[in-house]
Formats: sequence, C-alpha cells, structure tokens
Amino acid sequence: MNEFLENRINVNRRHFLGQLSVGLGSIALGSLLIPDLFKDESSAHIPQVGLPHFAPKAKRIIYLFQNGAPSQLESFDYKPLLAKLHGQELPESVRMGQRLTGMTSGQTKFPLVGSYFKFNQHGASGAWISELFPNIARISDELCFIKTMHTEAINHDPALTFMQTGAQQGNRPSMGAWLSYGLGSENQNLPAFCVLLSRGRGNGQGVYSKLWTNGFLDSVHQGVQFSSSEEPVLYLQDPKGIDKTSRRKMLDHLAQLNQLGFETSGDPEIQSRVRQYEMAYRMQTAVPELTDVTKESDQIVRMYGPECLVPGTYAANCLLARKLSEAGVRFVQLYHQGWDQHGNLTGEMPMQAQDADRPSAALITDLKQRGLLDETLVIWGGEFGRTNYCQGDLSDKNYGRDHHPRCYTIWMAGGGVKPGIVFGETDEFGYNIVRDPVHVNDFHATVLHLMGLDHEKLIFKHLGRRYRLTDVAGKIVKPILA
Amino acid sequence: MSTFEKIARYVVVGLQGLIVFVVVFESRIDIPAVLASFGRMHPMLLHFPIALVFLMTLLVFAQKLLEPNPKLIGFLIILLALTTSLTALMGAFLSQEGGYDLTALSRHKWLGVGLSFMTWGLMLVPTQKLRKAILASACAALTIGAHFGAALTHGEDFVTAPLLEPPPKLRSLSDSTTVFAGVVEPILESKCYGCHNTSKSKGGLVLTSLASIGRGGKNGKVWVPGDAAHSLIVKRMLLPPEAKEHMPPRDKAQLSPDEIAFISTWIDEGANAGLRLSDLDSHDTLRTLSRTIIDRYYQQPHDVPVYHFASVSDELVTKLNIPNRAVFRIARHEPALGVDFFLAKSYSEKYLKELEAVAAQIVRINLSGMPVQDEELSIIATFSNLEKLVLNNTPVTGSSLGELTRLTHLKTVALSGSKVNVAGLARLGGIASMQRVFLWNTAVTDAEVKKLREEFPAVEWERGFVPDETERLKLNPPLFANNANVLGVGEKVLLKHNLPGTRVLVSLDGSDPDSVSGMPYRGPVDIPHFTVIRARAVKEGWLSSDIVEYVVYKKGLTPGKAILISAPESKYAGDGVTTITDGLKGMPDFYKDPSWVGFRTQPMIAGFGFDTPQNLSVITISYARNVWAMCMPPESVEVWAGPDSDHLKRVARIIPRQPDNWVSNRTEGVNIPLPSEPFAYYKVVAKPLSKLPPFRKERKESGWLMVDEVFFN
Repeated sequence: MNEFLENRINVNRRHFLGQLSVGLGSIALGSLLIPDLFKDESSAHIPQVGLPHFAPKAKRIIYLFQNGAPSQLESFDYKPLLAKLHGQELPESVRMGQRLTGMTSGQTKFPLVGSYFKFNQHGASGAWISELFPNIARISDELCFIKTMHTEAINHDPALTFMQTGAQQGNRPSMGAWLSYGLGSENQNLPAFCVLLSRGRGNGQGVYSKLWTNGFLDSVHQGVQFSSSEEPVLYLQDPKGIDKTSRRKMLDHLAQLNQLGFETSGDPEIQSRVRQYEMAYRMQTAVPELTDVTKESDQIVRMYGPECLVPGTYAANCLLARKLSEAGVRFVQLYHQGWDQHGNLTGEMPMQAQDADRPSAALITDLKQRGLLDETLVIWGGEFGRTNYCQGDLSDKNYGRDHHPRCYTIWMAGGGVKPGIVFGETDEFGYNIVRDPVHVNDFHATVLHLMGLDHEKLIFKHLGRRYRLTDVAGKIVKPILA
Repeated sequence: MSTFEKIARYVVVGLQGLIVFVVVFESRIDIPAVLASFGRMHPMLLHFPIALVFLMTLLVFAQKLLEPNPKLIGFLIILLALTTSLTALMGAFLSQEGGYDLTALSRHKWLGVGLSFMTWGLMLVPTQKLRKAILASACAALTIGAHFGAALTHGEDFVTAPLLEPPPKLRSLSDSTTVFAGVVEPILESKCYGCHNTSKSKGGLVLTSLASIGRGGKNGKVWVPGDAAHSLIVKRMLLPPEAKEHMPPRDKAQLSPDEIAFISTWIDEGANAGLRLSDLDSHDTLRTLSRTIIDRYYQQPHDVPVYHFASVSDELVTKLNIPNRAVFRIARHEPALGVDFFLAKSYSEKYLKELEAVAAQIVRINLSGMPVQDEELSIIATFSNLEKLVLNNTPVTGSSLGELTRLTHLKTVALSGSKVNVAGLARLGGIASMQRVFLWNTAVTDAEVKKLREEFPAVEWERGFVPDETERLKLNPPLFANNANVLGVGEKVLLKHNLPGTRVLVSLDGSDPDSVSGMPYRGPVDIPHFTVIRARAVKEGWLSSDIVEYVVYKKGLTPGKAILISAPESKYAGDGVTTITDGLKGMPDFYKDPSWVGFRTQPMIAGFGFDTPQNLSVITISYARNVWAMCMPPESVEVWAGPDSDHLKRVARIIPRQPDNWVSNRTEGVNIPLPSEPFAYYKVVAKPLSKLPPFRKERKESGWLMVDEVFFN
C-alpha cells in the first residue's frame, strides 16, 4: 500500500513538473530573446551533439582493454635485475609493508622471479618489448608506453570499475558514456559507445554491464554490447513477413503512443527510448555494411590474422572496432579476457599474447594506412600490474604472479599522443614508481584532454552533487602530448 | 581699500605663514583628524585657483579688448589669493597622509606653495607690468604643478596610457610558474596595485614585487608566514567593508571570497615564494582554489580559436546535420567544420552540393565508402580551407585530382582502397601544402610510388601494410557450425572455415587428421553415436591450424521409463532421473545446476525400460571432466540387460581411460558397445573413480562422477 501511495505521489509531482516544463518551454519558444534555449524540443529525434571545449587532437577512441591484468614484467617493463635475483626474497626495503591480496598475503616467502621470456629493444625509440609481442614490437615507433600507471584497487572488479568509470564502487558513468555525453554521436545511425567482448585461452575474469553503464547520465549514453555471434547485433533483421514500410509505420505509431505517455508522465526516459528505436531502425542499414566479414580482402586477413573472420574473437573485434570507429563511433570498448596469470604463467601468457599481439598491431597499422590514426586514440592495457614475486610454486619452468596496483604499463597510440616514447620509470625491482607516476585519474584527464574536453568542466549534476569522470582529481600528463 | 579687502589681506598673510610652517616642519607635526579631513578637500578646491588664474590672465592680457571693470579685477585677485592659499594649505595637510611618490609630491608641493605666494604678490603689486609677469609665471607654475598633482592621484601615465602599447594581458602558466607569480600576483595586480605601486604607495606600501612586499609599509609587515590570522593583508581584507581600514577601500573593486581564501591559505602554509603550481597535487586546497582564480585572470589558450575565418550560424550547421551526413564544429569556439558521410546506399551528389553553403568553413571531409564520382571533386575543390580529404574505398580514379590544386591548405588526402591510378597523383604532389597521401590497397605500383617519392620528397606517400610473402601464418582451426552438440535424428556434423580456399581435414577415431590419415571434409559428416571429432584446416601458403576437438552426441532413443536405483550425493541430486534422460546437457563447470547428478561414495545405478525390445548398439554416459574439481571419468561401467528388471544379465563392461595430465575441462562421454540383441530393459552401473590419478596430490581420495545425460543409440 505504501509503494502504491508513493507512486501516486511521485507521479503527481512528476506530472506537475512535466506540465510546468512544457509551459515554460512554450513561453521560451515564443521568446525572441532565447530562441534556442529549448532546442531539444524541435529535434527530439536526434541526440544533441555536444561540442569539444577546444579543438581536439583525437575524435574517437578504441580502448583495447586487456582484462585480468597482463603482467608488465613479461611484456613491456623489462627488469633484468629480477632475473639476476631469481628466487631470492623480495627485500622489505622495496615492499615497505605495502598491502598484498588475500591470495598471497599468507605466503611465507616472496621469491623474486624474472621474466621467462626474452626482451629486446625495438624501433628508433629503443623500447624494450618481450618476445611474446613480435608484432607490437614491429610498430613500437607508433606507440607511447606509460610504464608508471598506478591504481588504488587491488582486486579485479574494483580496479576494472575504477579504470572504466573513475570510481571503484560502480554505477558511475563509464568513460564511453561520458564521451558520448560530452561529444555526442558523430554518426546518428550507430550508438556512440559500442562494447565488444572476447575471451582468450588464459585464466579469465568476468566483465559486467556495469562497466559500460551510463550511470546517472541519460540512457542514450549507455554502451551497446555487440554479440559475439555471427550476428553482432541481435534481432536487427526484420522478422519474416515484415517489410521496411510496415516497420516504419509501426515505429511512427509507437512514437505517437510514446509521445502521449511522455505528455502524461513527463519522464525523459521515454524520449530516450524513442530515440533508441529510431537509431535501431537506421542501424538496420548501417550495421550490416560494417559487420559483413565475407568480403574482407586477403591483405586484411594477413594483417589481423585468420581469426578475424571468426566472430567473437579478439582479432574479429579489432577489425570490427576499426570499422565502427571509421564509421564515426565515438568510443569502441573491447574487453579481452584471460590475462589473470596467478599460476601457470609460462603456459598461459604465450597463448594470450598470441591472440592479442597481431590484431592489436594490425589495428594501428590499418588505421594508419587509412589516414585515420591521427584522429583516433588507441589505448591498450589492463586494470593493474602483477607482482615481481612468485605466487604459488616457483619452478624453473613455471610460476605465477599476483595483483600489483603500484605500477603497470599501458600504451597509447594515435590522436595527439607522442609516438615512439616511453614515459615514466619504475624501480629496478619493478615494484615501485621512481619517476613520473600516472594515476588513473590523470589518465582519464589526459584522455579527455585529447578529445578536446576539459576534465574539470565535463560535469553532470546528480542528487545535488556535481560529478566528473576524474571526480576531484586528475592532472593532464602533458609530456606525452604531441 | 574696503574692509573686506583689508580682512582678506590679513587672512592671506596668515595662510601664507601657516603654509610655510606646515611645509617646513612637516616631519615634526601631527595633523589633527579635523584638519586631515580638511586636507582631503584639496582635490575639490584646487579647481578654483586653476580657473581663476587663467581667467585673470585672460582679463589682464586682453584688457583693451574686454575693458573689464577694475573693481572686478581687484575682487577676483582677492578671491584668487584666498582660494590659492587655502588650496595650498590643504595640500600641505594632505601630503602628511603619505603614500605618494616623493619626487612628484615635492615638485607639486613647491610649485603649489610658489603659486600661492605669487597670488599673494598679485594683491600687493598694483602695476600692470608686474601683474603680467606674475600671471605669466603663475600660469606656468600652475600647468606644471597640476600635471604633477594629476600624476599623484591618477598615476604617472594616466594621460598618455591610452597612446602607449597596452601591457600584454595574456598571462601564461608553465610548469615552473610559482604559486605567487601564478595566482597571488594577478590578484594583487587587479585589486591592490592601483594604490600600492612604486609611484603611489599608500601607507608606504608597495605590493608590486616580493622585495617591496617584504619591506612592508607604515603599519608593518604585509604578512606573517604561517599565520594568516595575524597577517596585516588578511586582517584588512576581512574587516567589514564599512570599516575605515578595510582593504581595498569600499569604493574600489573587492577581492572575491575564493581570492581571500587562497591568499590566507597560502600564507598559512608558509607563504613559500618558491612553491610551484606543479608541486601541488590535485587534492591540495590551493590547487582547488586556484582553478577558478586562474580561469578569472588568464585567457584560456583554448578559448582562442585555431581558425580565424568567418563563422556560419549554428542554425545552418544544424540544418545540414542529417543522418547520412554529419556536419559539426570542430570545437565550441571554432568556425571550422568537419563533415562525415554515412550510409553509402543513400549517397548522392546533392548532399555534397548542399555543403556549398559552408564551403569556406569545412576543414575536414570524410567520404569513405561513398560512391563519389571523379567529377564531384570539383565541388570539393570549392572548400577553400580544406585540410584533410578522405576518399578511402571510393570509386574515384583520380582523373580530376588536378581540381584540388586550388586548395592551398590541403595537407592530407587518403585514397586507400580507391580506384586511383598514378596519373592524378602528381597533381596532388604539386600542392605546396601537401604533407601526406595514403595509397594502401590501390593499383598504384611500388615503382610508381618510388617515382612519386623522388619527385615530391616533401610528401609522405604512405603505402601501408604490404604482406610479407615469405611469412607463413598459422590458420585458425575449423569451426563447428551446428547449433548444438547433441544431434537429433538425421542431423549431421557441420564444419566450416571462414577463409576462402581452406581445406578441412577430419578424423573420427581419435587419430591426428593430417594429410596422410585425415579425411577431407566434403560435406556434413554422419556419426553413429557420441564422437570426438578432430579437425584441422590446411591451405597453401599457410601453416596448418592446430587440431581442434569437438565433442558431439547423438540423441538416439528415449526410454519409456527410467529410474535411479542408487541415490546421488545430496548436494548434487539434480532432478533425479529426469536430469539424465531429458536430453539437456549440463551447464559447464556449474555442478549445482539441476542438469547434473553427482556420485562419489556409491556407483550410479540406473534402470531404463523401453516399450518394445530395442537392439541398441551403444549406450553413452555423458560426464564432466574437470581434473581440478576431481570430476573424473567413471572407473568402470557395466551394462546389464534383459526383458525386464528382474531378469538381467551383464552384457558389457568397460574401463574408460583416465586422464594422465591436467587436461582441460569439458563434458565428454564414454561409449559402451553392446552385443547385437534386442532387450526391453537396461541397467547401467557406473562406478566413480576410487583413487585419483597419481599426478594429483590427493591421489588417495576418490573422484566425483558427475553425469548430465545417458544416450541410447
């Protein structure tokens, strides 16, 4: 009974406010002083396009999230000292009593372990890259490595959520949602924020839709998850017996009904829904143009590897990401699972790297040869790093590494980032940061800056408090800006 | 001489005396408050002497022309002497307040005193000649003295300031900017410098440099590092505005609360002159407070547009922005526009033509994948500020690329995947502003590109990815194309590979499907019962794929009645016998799901009855293989058969192979071949593994037998 009463009260208030806003709106529309204050009224079917605060370097982002946290010590942060001290105890002077996860805090020994895989220097920049990533090594002069990322969370879910939403607890808008809110959609026929999932052969960690949520922003900014099947957007085709005209008519009548509903309740989510229907209608044309892999050239297959023709693989997602991005999708978020090598690192990591190496490099090459790399920002990395000591049994041939939030390496390429540089430095043990730390908030501030947004001005007021992706922190990492 | 004149003369003499006294003994006297406020009337009264001196000069020098009444002249002289002396005396009092530029003040003072003596002299000398001489010098003294006076009140360059170059307003911040220079100084400059600068230092205080601030003023030090509450500057700012000592004076521009907060916080934190803005971390109070202040005093570099041509209206941009053509400003303050085309099917030249309304504003246009014809480049050639043109995957041949030579800002042209040929490219190379041309996946040959590079070395001719013909890539394994891995009646196994020209080799007997023993996949494969299909893909020029295994079951017959004779472990009871006969496979790795029944302490014993005797060839038990979770194949399986449950004989017994390694998790089956004989009732006895294999630490423990289905073929 209480709920019923509450609902009545809410509806009344909402109804009243709805009526009030319509009243105010019509007054404003009649006024010559502020003719476009209520612009939304006249263009309800087109998501309002935001504009950058200043001329941006990058127009779109492809975020290749390596979910589970790939070890920086077997990929891009070369620490020969660890090989020298292999099996010796992690000195207390390095660890300084910093917290560990519950998975290794009970260990009596913390033997240091060097990389099982060889490192070599590559490109004009001389970046050290392990033998697991030969293709990424080949394009290292396009990349900007940040070796000094650090985060506040020590477990996957909060760290992942922090990396994606700027808060550990969840329910805040994801990066892609913020960018959709700040910049709108470039292509009105596709969502501004698309999410593609893949799973490697290593130990995996889950991803959840809260990572691509719109949070308190309008639901049009939510990430749209593509299916890993042959049909990336489910139910996109008209059912048998329904042609384009009757689908159009149905949508028109549905929109009228929804308009009635909106006039009664004044709930803005109804208008969001109408816009989503309209976009889905246009997606019926736009998506098949993009997702058809039957016509990919031999060159593309050789670049991305033959798996790019198998829907749901990381390679196929990289290829699809390029196509979506090329078609104006503001933010394409990939999650590649399987990087959580607590044990059997030497068994699993080569498989993970094999899946991720070629397509990641191909994506950069492909964007570059189309003249699009300068306006697209590509980000590659996980949610934290891995410990320099062994988790579990240490043998000559195998070992594991636990979560390590104090330093990890990511790389960026393209739009507005200096190519061919290595930024920041960790200590010889690969445990602490020596120079130029980059906090997750700083990373977000920098990414928004590259997209032409001032992270201190991209604000949404919710429940009486102003929110930002960087909340109350974040410094732009200027030395990596081109 | 009238009484008025007499009295006036004595008053003037008295005033002159007072002036001399005050000026001579200025450092030794204290001015009472009444006289101080009397002194402040100096700026008002001084207008009388100015007007009267010039009026007198006019009357005296132009006496013949104007024929003034001598009585009037006498009166005016008295008035002039009175007001001038009075003004000078007031000035003398006012100068006691201090805070003025000393050189200018002393010049102004002595000229003023001189002037008052001259006017007194005018009263004493009756001759025309002398009067003229005195008036002439009075005019000169007045002009010069007034100039110094004005400099004292309004500042030195008050008159000439508008003529001089305005000081650069744009401050800039760098990593080395100190908090003082970056934030405190702009506040002081806008709110305090007016009265506390080197030429006008009210209260003896100059705030224009750290050194002069350090010297303080008449009332002492400006701030006490680490103690804002006892710092003069903060105390004065916090006084109520109506208080006499409140700073800045109430009629001047006031500091905003965040500015006061910033200065007091900075003083509280030690007023460290060397502290840099970049030293503050983002949570720092100073950092937080500084943001709005910096916004206030600094022109934001990004508020300055990158482009300076005329802007078009937002309405026009909105009008042009339609689903198949996005038109948008590159940023809020920018006149420049970017354009993207979408939905190739809806493209027509019309949409390009409509952009002529914003021809001068487009800096970037993307026509990727659109059916753009060569002739349409002449429309693009009117986009006079165009910098980047993307024509990837268009049918453009390049025959009219020469049109683009009109575009003097064009830097980038992307023609990847287009039908472009080399002929038009030389014209692109000839554009002086050209930087990069993208030619991946076109008919342009290496030799042609080499020639272009030689001819136009300033342009990067990008060839993009060129496959390394010697590099052999490994194929991905064939894909399983059935909807589910339990096949119904008549269903066959479908395999496929997405890369055209790939052959698939299969084996059904567990052998490696290589080119010798593998069977080429030529179409759907029939299987009689549970089978592990092994397959690999091969193609010339590629390395063969890894072998992939697909586990496939055949649905077969469904028993009319079924019963679980032994009870499963209570944690994994599933839905009893339904679980193993409903044709549904178990959820992978989730054994609490009712699609599983689990046994450990006793074997699974189940009975299955058919309405009519069936000549079964194979019974398959589908179980979970998960070495980590100790879910193992059964140790042994027996099948008993007969006409009914009371008359059974053992017809088959097998011992499945156990994993000898940490094999991956999957659901698989064990086939129990039966003799060819019809039976109406079958009993299956499957024993869990009594001892785990030796590679597991817990090798003395028994394994689990998790079953999700039993198939009859």
